[in-house]
Amino acid sequence: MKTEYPEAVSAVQQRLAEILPSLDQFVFLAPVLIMILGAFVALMTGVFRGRMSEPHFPSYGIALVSCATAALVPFVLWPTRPLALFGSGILLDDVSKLGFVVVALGTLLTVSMASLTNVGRLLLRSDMVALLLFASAGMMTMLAAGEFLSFFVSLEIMSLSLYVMVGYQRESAQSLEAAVKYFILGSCASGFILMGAALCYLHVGSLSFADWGSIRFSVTETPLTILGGILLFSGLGFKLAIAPFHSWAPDVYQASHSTLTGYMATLVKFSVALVMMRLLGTGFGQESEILVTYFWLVGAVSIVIGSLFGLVHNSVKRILAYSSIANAGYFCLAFATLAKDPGSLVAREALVAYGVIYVILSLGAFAVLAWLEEGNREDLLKEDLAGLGRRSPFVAVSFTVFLFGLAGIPPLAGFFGKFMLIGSAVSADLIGLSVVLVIFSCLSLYYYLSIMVEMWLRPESRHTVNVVVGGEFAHLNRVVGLLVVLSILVGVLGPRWAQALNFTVAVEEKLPSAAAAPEPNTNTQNAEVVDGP
Amino acid sequence: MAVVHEWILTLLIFFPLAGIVGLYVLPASAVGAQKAFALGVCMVELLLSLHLVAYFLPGLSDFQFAQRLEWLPRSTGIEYIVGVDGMSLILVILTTVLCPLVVLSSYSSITKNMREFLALFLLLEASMIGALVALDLVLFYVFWEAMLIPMYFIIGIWGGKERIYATTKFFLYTVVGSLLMLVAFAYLYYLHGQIPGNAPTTSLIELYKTAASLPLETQLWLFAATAFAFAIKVPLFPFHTWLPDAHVQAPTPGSVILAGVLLKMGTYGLMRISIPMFPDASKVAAPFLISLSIVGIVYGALIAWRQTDIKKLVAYSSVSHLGFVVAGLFALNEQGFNGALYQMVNHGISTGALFLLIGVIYERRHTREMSEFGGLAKVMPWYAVFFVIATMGSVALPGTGGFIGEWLILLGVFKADPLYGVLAGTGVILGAVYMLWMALKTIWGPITKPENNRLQDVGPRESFVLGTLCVFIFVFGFASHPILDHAQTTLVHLKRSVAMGEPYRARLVSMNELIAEQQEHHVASATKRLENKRSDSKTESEDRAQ
Repeated sequence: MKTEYPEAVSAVQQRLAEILPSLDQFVFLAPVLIMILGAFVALMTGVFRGRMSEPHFPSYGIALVSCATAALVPFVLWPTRPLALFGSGILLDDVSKLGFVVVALGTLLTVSMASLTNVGRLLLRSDMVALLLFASAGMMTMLAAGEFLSFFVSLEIMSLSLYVMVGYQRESAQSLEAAVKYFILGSCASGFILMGAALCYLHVGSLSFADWGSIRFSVTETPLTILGGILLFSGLGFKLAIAPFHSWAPDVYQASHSTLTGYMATLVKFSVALVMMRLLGTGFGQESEILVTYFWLVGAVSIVIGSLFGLVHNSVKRILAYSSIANAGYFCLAFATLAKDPGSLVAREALVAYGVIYVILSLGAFAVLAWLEEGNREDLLKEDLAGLGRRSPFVAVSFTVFLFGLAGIPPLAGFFGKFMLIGSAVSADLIGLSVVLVIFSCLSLYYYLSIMVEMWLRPESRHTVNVVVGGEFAHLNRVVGLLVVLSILVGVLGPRWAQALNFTVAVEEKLPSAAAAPEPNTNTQNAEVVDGP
Repeated sequence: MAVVHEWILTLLIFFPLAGIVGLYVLPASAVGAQKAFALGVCMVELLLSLHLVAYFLPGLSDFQFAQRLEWLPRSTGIEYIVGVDGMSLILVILTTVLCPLVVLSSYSSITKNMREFLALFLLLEASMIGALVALDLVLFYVFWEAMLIPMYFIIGIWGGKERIYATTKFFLYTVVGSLLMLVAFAYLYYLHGQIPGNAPTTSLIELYKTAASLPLETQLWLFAATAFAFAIKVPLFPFHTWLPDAHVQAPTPGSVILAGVLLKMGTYGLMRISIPMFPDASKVAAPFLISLSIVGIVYGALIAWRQTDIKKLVAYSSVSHLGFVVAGLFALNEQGFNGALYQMVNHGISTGALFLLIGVIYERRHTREMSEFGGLAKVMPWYAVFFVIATMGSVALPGTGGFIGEWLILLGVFKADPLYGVLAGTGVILGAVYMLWMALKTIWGPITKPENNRLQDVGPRESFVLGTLCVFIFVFGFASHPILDHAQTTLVHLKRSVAMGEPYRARLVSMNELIAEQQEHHVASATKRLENKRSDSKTESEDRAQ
């Protein structure tokens, strides 16, 4: 290769020299590096484990330590102003910082939840822990990605780890089915994303999100770009479980262990939502009436589907899955706002606020569910919770807090999220979509209430689950209690982090030579060379 | 004292919450202590609220005892603002007076999970007070929705046979309305921020100005969204269907507080938010809303007449009575506002008393069918006394508060349009018919059922609760002036701003400033002078408010 394209190679070398960060900048990537390092160490120590299927506690410890460090590091080591590394491959700005912390803490909670239940401990095999850390590292780089390639690679790191984790219960047919379903549909979605990005690339000749800001959507002139945009957002919509790309979600959620479901339902959505914010916020397609309509439609459809389909189900986990579909629809209010007005600050604040709130509430709800399943069968029905309020008040109160929170009833966390989302939508004149949200969230309230009815208003029956409280599960109290306190605190004090955030996006400093013509070529060859060995 | 003036409203909101903590410190088995403790909390709350009465300046339409604290980050403009004016003062006192009585009544009517009930009740009290004194839309909304959760559980856990259906219906109905209201609030918040020179805010006082200056069409939409939420809560025909279910299924204390205070939240919201914010829209929508309320008055009365279940009868009578209140409000004149506010309080007291009375016989007979009773006066003479007084209060006999309230409302409605007056007047007649019919069937006549021969008359605790309410019924019948005087200035001011189509202007005044001013001038005429000064130089007061 070297002999054939000497000028290309030198261009690549030059480009590499331009974009490779110096060592003092490398330290800012510590959170990601720690997670990856943790994953490798967990894998290595796993070699010395006794039996395959047993939980491996050293790697559990490693996971805890690396997540905790990764969550702390951004507070100590962070560039004073937004910084772009690797070209614009990794953007280190406030949004990434928040994302790093949330993902690391979310993973920390997931791992500690898993360690507290017997079923969950199966997740703590060294290979699973490594996958979990890889997935989180993928999310982190994805959140920080400022151009398509780094985004896509991180997305795949995350997705591939998740495919495996969903199927980790190899003896369960349901779990395998879910894993296969998730894998096949997920690969399709990745294909969509790639195709979409390729079509966008065709139009602007660059893969950096910042350059995509110049994309124009016009039915007559750039029909392919429109197709590209739609494909790209549909693929992302799949990851977010936005209808009509939602059909995998209930099955996959139901078949995985609740701790893992919590992880998938929250952190994945959170990080994809932030990526969408970056994409749309750079002004993806400036006259993007088409995108507004697109998000209006998919948002409305997922709110409707999430709210209505949940009504007919009896399985608590499936209800939560539909609730998460409806919640993904709520995100679309902010997406549509951003599509209309890429500079919208309210939409950014709403997304960042609601993303974190949703992580807290949903993680909490699934943590409670995992707790309820402990010692009982998986996939509980509503009836199994009858009279729980009397039998285990703490569990029932926590579940109530999370469900009312998801329903957006003040003074719990979900309220401010919803208020800000509606606020952002009305600021872009999307009153119709807000009304859809309002009406259907009332309908969805019915299924939250039906769980509440079982827990509080019905007497105990012989089906009622026995919840193990105290003893070796005493720590569960603390983890769930922490989330309850968080969701009440956020509900009372408001999502302060959203207003404190500086949404300035990092830009590439050393922009490659102003002569724009050879730029696209360099990029493609760059990719080739990297792929080569 | 200066500190008390400043913090009194916040204290009123959070004191019951502290009471909940106290309840859970007490041992779980000491039910008696828990009851006494909760009663104590409510009594202290009542005493605290009397501080408001003692220092309230009736000649001022501004928000007194105001407190403004930072809540969300400043950039959002969402603040913690509380304050009372004439309208909210009267309703706050109504709440704090009713709450201890309700706790007393729960001693016998709540038989299981006493501590949880009391805790939820205190939570309910805190959020009701919060909703009444909040002067920031988001704060108001938070308390408004927070009222739902305790009530949901009170009906759902301690209610009757169909409680789950009733409580779910109650919850969903209310939430539909209030979420649409939230959209309206968000839109208003956005519109306010769009006007050049405006910092974003959800302060009611600021938004009064913005909202009133909007074009009529926008005003109408926003008015519709807020009025819809309040109409469901009132409940105004045709959104009333949740009420009979909720009332019938709720335990006695739940029904009392529902009729006594929660329904008033709807009419209070109309008075505090819908009408002053959107004066032009109110004027356009008034005929429509009065018509709806007249339909509600007549319809509620007719349906009540046909009920065999006493509790359902009283529930439908609430639909009818609250129709009066809404009609009075949308007459949009002084008499109408006065009557509506007065009737809100009267209805709370007399209907509250009726629900307590129904609770008394329900505890003894476990039925509420009218045909099961009859001749109760013979075995329960004191019960009959209270029953008749409460009935008379509800019928609005001269000498009871209801008379003055309905009289003022009718006066206002006649002034708006005589036709409405005539139609609403039929409601008074029908009201007498079904209430007297109910009294006849239950209290008078021969004893038809042998079980009723052994019924015990009301005990001392029940007599105390009922007696207090009956005394209030008469007090309100004769002492309307001192009570209405507190709200007079506010209501006149409201009427004036609606009539002129002007934004409702009010300042937040801290009592400490007022008192300082008072000392500066001569104490006796300070109030009057303040009022004059305010009207002389409106601009100056605006400057100060900013």
